Amino acid sequence: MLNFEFNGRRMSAFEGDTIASALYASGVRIFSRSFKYHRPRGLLCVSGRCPNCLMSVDGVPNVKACTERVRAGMKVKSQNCWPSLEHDIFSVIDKIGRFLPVGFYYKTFINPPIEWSRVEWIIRRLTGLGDIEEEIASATGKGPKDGRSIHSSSFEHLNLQADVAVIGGGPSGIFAALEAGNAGARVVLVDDQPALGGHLRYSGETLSIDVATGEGAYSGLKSSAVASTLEKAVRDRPNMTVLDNSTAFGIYESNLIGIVRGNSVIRLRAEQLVFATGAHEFPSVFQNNDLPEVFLGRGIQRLVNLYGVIPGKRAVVVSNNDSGLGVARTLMDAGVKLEAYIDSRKAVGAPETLAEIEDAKVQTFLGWAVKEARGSKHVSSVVICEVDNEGELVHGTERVVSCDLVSLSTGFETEAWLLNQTGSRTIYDELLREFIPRELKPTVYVCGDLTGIHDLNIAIMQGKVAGLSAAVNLPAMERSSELKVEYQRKSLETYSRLVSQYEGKYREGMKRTRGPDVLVVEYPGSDKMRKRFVCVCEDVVAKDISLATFEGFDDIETLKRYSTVTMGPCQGKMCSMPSLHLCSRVTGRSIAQTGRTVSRPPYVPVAMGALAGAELHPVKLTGIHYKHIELGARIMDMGEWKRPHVYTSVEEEYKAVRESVGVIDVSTLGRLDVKGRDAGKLLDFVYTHIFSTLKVGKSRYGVICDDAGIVLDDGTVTRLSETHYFITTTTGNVEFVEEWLVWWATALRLDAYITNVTAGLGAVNVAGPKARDLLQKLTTVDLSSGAFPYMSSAEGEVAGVPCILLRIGFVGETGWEIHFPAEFGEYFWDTLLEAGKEFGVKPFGVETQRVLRLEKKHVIVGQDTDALSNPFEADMAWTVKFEKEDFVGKAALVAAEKKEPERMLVGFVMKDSMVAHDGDQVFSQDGSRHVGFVTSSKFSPKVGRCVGMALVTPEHYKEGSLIRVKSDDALNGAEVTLAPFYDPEGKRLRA
Amino acid sequence: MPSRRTALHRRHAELGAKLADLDGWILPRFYRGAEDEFKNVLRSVGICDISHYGKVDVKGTEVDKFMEKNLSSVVIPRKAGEVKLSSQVSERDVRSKRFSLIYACRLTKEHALLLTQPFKSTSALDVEGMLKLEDGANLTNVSSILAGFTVGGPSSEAVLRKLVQVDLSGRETGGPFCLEAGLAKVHSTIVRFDGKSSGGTTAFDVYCGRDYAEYVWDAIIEAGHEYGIAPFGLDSPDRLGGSRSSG
Ligand code: FES
Repeated sequence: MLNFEFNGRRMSAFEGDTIASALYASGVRIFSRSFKYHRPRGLLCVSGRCPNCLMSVDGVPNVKACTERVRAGMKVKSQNCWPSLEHDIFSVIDKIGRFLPVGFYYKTFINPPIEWSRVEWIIRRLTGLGDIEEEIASATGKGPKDGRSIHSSSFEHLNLQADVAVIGGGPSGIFAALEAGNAGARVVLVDDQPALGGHLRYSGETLSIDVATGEGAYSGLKSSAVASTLEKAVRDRPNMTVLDNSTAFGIYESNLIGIVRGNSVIRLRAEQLVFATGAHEFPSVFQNNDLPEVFLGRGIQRLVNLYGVIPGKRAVVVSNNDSGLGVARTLMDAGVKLEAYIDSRKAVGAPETLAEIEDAKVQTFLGWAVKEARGSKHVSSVVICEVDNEGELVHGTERVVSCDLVSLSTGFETEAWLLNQTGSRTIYDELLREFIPRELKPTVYVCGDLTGIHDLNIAIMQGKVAGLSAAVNLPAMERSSELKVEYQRKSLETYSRLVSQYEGKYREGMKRTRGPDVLVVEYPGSDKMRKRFVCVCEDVVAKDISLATFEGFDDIETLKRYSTVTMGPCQGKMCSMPSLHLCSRVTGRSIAQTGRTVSRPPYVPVAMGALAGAELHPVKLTGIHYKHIELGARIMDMGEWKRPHVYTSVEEEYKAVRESVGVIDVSTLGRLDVKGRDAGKLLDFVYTHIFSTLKVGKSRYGVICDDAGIVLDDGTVTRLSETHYFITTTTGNVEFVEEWLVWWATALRLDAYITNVTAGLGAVNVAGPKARDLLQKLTTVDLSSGAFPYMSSAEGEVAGVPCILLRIGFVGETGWEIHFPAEFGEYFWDTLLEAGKEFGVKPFGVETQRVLRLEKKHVIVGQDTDALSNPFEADMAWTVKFEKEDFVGKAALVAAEKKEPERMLVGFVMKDSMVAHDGDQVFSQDGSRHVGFVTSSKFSPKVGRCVGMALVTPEHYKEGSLIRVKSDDALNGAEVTLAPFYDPEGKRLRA
Repeated sequence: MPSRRTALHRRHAELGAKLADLDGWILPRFYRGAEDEFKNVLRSVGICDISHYGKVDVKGTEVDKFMEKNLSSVVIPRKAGEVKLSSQVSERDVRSKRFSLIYACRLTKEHALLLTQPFKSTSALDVEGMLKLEDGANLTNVSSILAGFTVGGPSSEAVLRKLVQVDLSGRETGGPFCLEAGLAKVHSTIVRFDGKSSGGTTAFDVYCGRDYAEYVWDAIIEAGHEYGIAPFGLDSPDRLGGSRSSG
């Protein structure tokens, strides 16, 4: 026995019970309150297909109680009612229902006097399904860990591949899977139930199977026993994967199947798809058809045969097909008194079962239907009427049958929604009264109840045909031996022949027993048929559909959107067919003409968390990362990288660089290795500058533009040998530049090989007046200005590590950017800091670097430029070499050079102690005109004021021009400067 | 030369690994006990840092010609996805005596990845004269760029399936095979070994950018949690990838 809590009460359940079966066995009959009218609702389908048993379980809302297994200690609460399920205050809405016609919101809140915005909060409180509770974390039993969200620890994604995916584990699906498996295919079988077998698990019948199917051995056995045997056969196969408790919710491009299994989403890709998704029952539409204890027939069979729950004492079975007879049998076997068997047909397909029922002294009414159910919170009786040939109830024939349980076997709808998502079509079959598959897409096969035929012999053979066809059509199977191919071809022929024989017979039988269509009962001359529910999710009644159609929403798609029918949690499973019938009747169009609404994923509700999956945000770390942490650096995110923002303070770090020496980890810079005979040619074409003439051992700044002349990236290019260049790119842009170079190398057929070496190289910038002294302690490379001038390079060892040294100066001081194999990162860093102790070396972070570079007016592409900036506007005209024959963006730049630029990048110094921020707007001196915006701004220790760069209209591109920066609603004065704020001649860089 | 650390050095230390110097690399010999770790691999799944392997990219339109000419004793995988083992690689081919085993993985028509014993590089971008360049193809040392892990054991495929969308079962090729795929959203090269070449069990070598290594390692550990994944060191018998290590 398991104990759990329901609305604060202690309940017990048997192992294997669902919440619903346990509650029903304990006497609970009302499971929810309806969405709009707050009417009491009880179990209906007992298969997770209707909205009637939605509950909150351990804080997770909208869990279907009829499919959720009881776990010890779980906390179950009812939703959408107050104060309790039995007594819900909001059920008064049911009384004023006639004031809430279809399209109520649209009609009422379209104009003042009642504005939507005023009433929205009230309506939102009254409607909606379930609340997300704080303790949702407890649902997973895990909760947050390691500071990561609940999310990442409870949801996950899984990827699977198969030759053949079979969706649906009923008899036809099982035989399809077995047949495909026998033929050598890798099969994945997906089923939403905890065990395979479909309706064989609960129908309780003794099977009669034709020997010609090859499965005659199962004849005479109990269906549940056969289900178990078949399940074992499937699970024992080595090339078979069974995904139970798994619901396929969408079919996407290239046969990708989205499957939800608990908190996981499984992405299954299959060569061939077999749909054995079956069919579900739906209720017919009569007055008060939504009362608790009005069940679908198979729901009753599930309760009785899967969970051993006796659903009532005195039952009425209402039917229009042979499955009703089976339900009657189930009830009688379970000891329930059958008060009446009512069938709208005049003849049945299994007269021997009918005779048994009659023998048991049960009143049978052939050619009758239900007009209404009576009772307040529970059904107490039904009113039945004779039906005429048109399917209408005959006046004056009413009879009242008292009961406490009503079973509806009033129609099947094929579960073709997923199939439709493959692009395969379905058409309405007038004889079967179901939508059946037609025009299947290649790689798609169907079998079983999904074909509109409910017959075990046919299901078995259809399954075999589907499974074998799927397997033989696999591309990989083509190689199999000729003998095998011949054998398979013959088998297929035999199977298919049997299917058509059986199917012919089945259709004959259907013709014999076919009765009038009484899906939606009409009582001529009376419009008082109240509360005939078409859609139990959204509380749409028959009158709403008629009214909406009358108002002009007579296309099934617009009808859906206007009335919200089929838009609730069941996604049309209970209401699609009844609404269609009603729409077709009101419009006078046939069902086929009316058609069905388009099916889109997800087929069942899927938790957002499950769709999102585990949190996977790639993170990049430099080889020195943990040293920064040990030094107490504040770490910031820069794209996927983690970088030190600041270690101690900007002032301290700044001082070290300007007055002594500082080191910064620049391993995040993009680095590309470009080799090949045509490497120089390639760079000439991609960059605006010239590199084929660059001397070996020299570096040069370069800018990359697109065809429109827009600046894409910048960096340095160093020539290591005649055929070998080493490029740096901005952090985060290296993949793009790599692709861009590869693309152009390929397009121009150049002999050039590009390798992204970023991850393999650590890099440190050592800068400051004492940088040389520090480094010279660790290397034999001559670092003197004569031997190693600004913008040159060398390869050599530093501290015993093989390095590439570049003499460049982003921060405006004497400095070297040193690249080395990343595995030496921590050692290299430690050695530098140790050797620099005597000079007062300090590590500096990104924030300090930004101040230093801003004082030098060094541009950061993407910050000081935007998606419209060309090199002229960015004040980098010197990087564009028009003397080259051609390069990317040349034409656009030639044109741009002739035009006056719209904006120019300038430096500015704020007046007094005023501050400016990145992104602040810039105005003319008198404040009357908007002239641009600030791209970067920082306090400059050198200037003693806030300095920055701004993109402004060209008239301000002159030294001393006055502008105003709008900051915190004040227009603060600033003065334009064109030269760098620090060391304008670059003497320190070259020292 | 100072010793080399893989990107997972900190993880190994946190896990209490017993570290040792192997060919100039600091690597875990074992964490708690080599025997238990290897048993866990054979029973379920384990993960091992193999970032020290030498890795060489051959890229270009003439990969076959290039390898035939410059690596004449290497068995060349001709079809994309193929992996070939060469156990008798001549000294001339690689200019290094320690270079006797090569797994050559053909990723695409224009790209092969060679896996071998660790190099001792003497330059940041080159290794012992391996920086070769000829018309139509080019050889690059990518040892520092790529971190590597072996994920081995009967549950290894199930673990990686959570992170990789493409088919890792490879039943069509039979032997070892390689492919490129996103693993936990990071571009990776994955090589599958079965049977003899991996100590009798299934093993996957996963190579990704060194900068992503810790993230990918963590993602695999998290995905493998339910299977009882545990790290193992180089002392585990016969290394999963056969005898690719000289340790
Ligand atoms: S009764 Fe649970 S979903 Fe229908």
